[in-house]
Amino acid sequence: MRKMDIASDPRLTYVLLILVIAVPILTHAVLPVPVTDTTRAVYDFIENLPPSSLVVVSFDYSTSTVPELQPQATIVAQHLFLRPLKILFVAQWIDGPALTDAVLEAIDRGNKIYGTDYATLGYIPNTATLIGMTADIQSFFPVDTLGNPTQNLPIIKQFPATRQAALVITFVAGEPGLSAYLQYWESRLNIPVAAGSVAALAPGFMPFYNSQQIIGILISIRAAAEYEFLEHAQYSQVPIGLSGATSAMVAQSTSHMLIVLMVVVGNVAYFVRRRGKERSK
Amino acid sequence: MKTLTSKEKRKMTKAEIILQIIIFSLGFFYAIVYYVRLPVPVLGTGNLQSAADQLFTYLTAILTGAFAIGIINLTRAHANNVKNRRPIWKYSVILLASMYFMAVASIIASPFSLDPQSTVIPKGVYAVFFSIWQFLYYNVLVSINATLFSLLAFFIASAAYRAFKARSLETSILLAAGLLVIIGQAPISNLIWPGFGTIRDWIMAFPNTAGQRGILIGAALGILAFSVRRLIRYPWGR
Amino acid sequence: MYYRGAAVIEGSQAKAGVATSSDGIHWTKTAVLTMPAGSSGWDAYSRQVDALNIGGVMRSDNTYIMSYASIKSRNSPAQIGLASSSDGISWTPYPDNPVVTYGTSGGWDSGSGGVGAGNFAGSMILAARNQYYVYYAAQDPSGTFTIGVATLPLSIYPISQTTSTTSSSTVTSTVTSTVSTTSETSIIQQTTTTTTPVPQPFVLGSILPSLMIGRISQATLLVITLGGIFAVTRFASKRKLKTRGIPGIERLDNWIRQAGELGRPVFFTPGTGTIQTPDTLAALALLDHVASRCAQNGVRLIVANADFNVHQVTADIVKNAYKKAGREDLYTQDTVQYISVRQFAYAAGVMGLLRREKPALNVFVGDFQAEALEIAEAGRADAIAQFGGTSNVDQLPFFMATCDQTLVGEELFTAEGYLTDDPQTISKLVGPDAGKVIAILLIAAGAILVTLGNQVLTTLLRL
Repeated sequence: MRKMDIASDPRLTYVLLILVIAVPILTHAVLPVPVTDTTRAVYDFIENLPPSSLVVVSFDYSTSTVPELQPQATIVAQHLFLRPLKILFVAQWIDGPALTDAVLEAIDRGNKIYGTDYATLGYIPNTATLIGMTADIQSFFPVDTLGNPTQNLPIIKQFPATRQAALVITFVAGEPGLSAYLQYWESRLNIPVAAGSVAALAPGFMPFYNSQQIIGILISIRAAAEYEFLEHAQYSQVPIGLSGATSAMVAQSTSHMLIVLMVVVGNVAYFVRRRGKERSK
Repeated sequence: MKTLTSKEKRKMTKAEIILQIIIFSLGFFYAIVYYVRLPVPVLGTGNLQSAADQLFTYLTAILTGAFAIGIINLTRAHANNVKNRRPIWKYSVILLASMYFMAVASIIASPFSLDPQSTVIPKGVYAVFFSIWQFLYYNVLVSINATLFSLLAFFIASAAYRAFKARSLETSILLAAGLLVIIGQAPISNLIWPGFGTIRDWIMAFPNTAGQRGILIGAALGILAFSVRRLIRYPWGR
Repeated sequence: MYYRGAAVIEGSQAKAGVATSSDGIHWTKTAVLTMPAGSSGWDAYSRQVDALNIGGVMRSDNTYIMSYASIKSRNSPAQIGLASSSDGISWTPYPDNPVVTYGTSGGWDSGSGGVGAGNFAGSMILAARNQYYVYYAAQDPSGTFTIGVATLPLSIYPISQTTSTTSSSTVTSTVTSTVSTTSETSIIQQTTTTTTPVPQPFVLGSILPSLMIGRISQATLLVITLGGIFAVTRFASKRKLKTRGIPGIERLDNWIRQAGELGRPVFFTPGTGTIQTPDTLAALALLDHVASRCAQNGVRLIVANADFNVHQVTADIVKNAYKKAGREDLYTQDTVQYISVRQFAYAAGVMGLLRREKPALNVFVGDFQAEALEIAEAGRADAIAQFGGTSNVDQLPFFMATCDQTLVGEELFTAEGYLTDDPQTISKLVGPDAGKVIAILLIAAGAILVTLGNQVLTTLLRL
């Protein structure tokens, strides 16, 4: 009997994987997710920000990591818009401004007015701008992404420099990203930093969280699901499923278990084969 | 016993000596700027640090200028493909067409080109280009990028199946640690037993971080020695 | 007298102590104040770092009452709490702390936004008219300081009101007295605007604040490490040393020769880093070797680039290598290709190349991001061997799972030493090991010291 050896024909694996991921997402399955400390730290920090604080949101990822980070950005932006805060959107990656617009369209902006309560400044092209905007936003961003001169925006009049920010949260998939904010904003000016990161980079950021250089990390799409539950518990008008993260959690669980199963089966098969060879010797 | 061809130290030509001096001075300058944080005013630019940052911006700008060379190179290579009808010439056509169309559409559809009087770019043209650009960006570019990134999931599955074989003690430990982290990462495991999450956190925070830091320190030292060697004597004319 | 001081070392926290004097001019420090450790709560961070931002102390009979400021986490604004003590040295916090908290949005005491706002910078407490009055300074969003007062019922710490250690400044009549709740009112307006710092004349003495210590110690460490590396290098170059060798480097030449025998090309890519990335420079050094070996064996080489500057350099390197071996016929327009600077466009281009050209040997060295696994898996199908190397720890596991030989981190940078038996270059391998010894000693010392509670090394090496 010809056994279907997975190693020589990966297509079976791929088909199983597709099924195991697609079904939960298409059926909008929901799974309660326990909240980790790193996510809760971010949520509590934003929740406890004094009214009228400035929050800078930085989009440091591109279209390829949208499935992982866009849910985080969506749900955190929704939280920021529910709180009485002032928000500035910037980006260190080229795709950032377009992704910012996508997030802003997905959430309920309530009665916040563009220009007074929030503004999108756009792309930060180099380190000089990143450092300079902590002293003077206008000279580095003469216009915002919509073409309005920043000197006319009430939010810029209220916060002419990002040095006064109460929090900068960066959604990061690589460099430039978190290290720039840590280097120039956190260590020099003590501006608190939070990070929403892809799974691959999160272990590298944990030391910063352990030493309290960043106040919290949102790790991959799972943190978006956790955040969504936290937010829904407090603000029931936020629907579960706004970020799409919860059904992704089910898909993540099933796909992880499939891989574990495959590895175990593969090892069992390997041992059986080896035992058979030893016995035949 | 192999020896590499022409590794003998040879005298540097005058041009190479000048270049080496420039390289060394710039490297030394940036090292000084990093370690010596004195607010020394320099040439009216504020202080040493901002002068260094500005200089770095200029140097990076020079590098970015080569972007144009990249486009010219691509155009030439793929136009050649089409001209000589090489097997993949149809894809070269698609590449050139999409590259130039996207560039033009982005320029026209950019908000910075929005002309209030609509004299240069009529509003109708802008609207058409903007909607096409939006379609291409969100429906084509974002989708393709996400698809290619998702391919990783399949490759990880087949790579994991191949790599996680308990052949020796070390691979068995790798297998056990890997399985525990994968299980701990799946949200459902926390409903089965919360300990999985704790184990995963411990593995990631301690053995994993320690190992990564060891590699990082080694790599940093390697980079240090490598770079200092380059600053002192670049291997010219290999 | 109660006073608050801080050590000069950067990062240390303020503590409070007691000093006594008989003449009011010469003081002797007698004790440091202590507070029981807390966990999470309004003063979590202050307790954790054992800081005490003492405000004012008053005494009545045998009870001392203090107002102090504390912060919840490292970057949150301060709030004010009370504590009581019977001996003036060890204090117990008031159970319902904080008593004065953040002000309303935009108001006179809401702080100028976030950190370092100096909210509730100082405080003072006294008792009068059946109430406790806590005076404090707070900032509004524009940075103006104002003095305010909060009132608390006397019942929280019942005392007789006859004594007070603070001065005789009388409470003005603009204070509104409420009975059972705390109220916060602004009574004194003081317009001190925060100005931009006046440029100081450059005095060396003023430059060595605690901020510099981190840099100085780091610079010293760098000099010591470099000295160690080069001393060991010189030592090693005088002796015949045997390296353990990385088998893969020796196998690299064999694989190239095999590719020649099979008539199949060799594929090389320096990754997605820019010309400034150290990994890319090391990859170019390796490319030089690979290109010359390919030229000598008459093997076709294909190089795919993601950065246009790297592309220029690789084209140069490969062309020279082929010219030196007299095999310019092998250098075609396909030899060095520029794919795309976008990460996954590059990955797709490389995967397509690998599937079409079916190279016998794939060399992936340099700086890689997520595309590493994709191109390595795609190349695995047809190649007889794969050779990878990067210092990016996130991608190393993928290389190790798909490549027959991987250069891990520093091996990529010292690879040129393995390519020869020349003692000069071997000594370059050994050099960085000196730095590793220093690093190991520092880590061990730091771990031991921190376990024993000593923060010397961490504060010395903090940037």
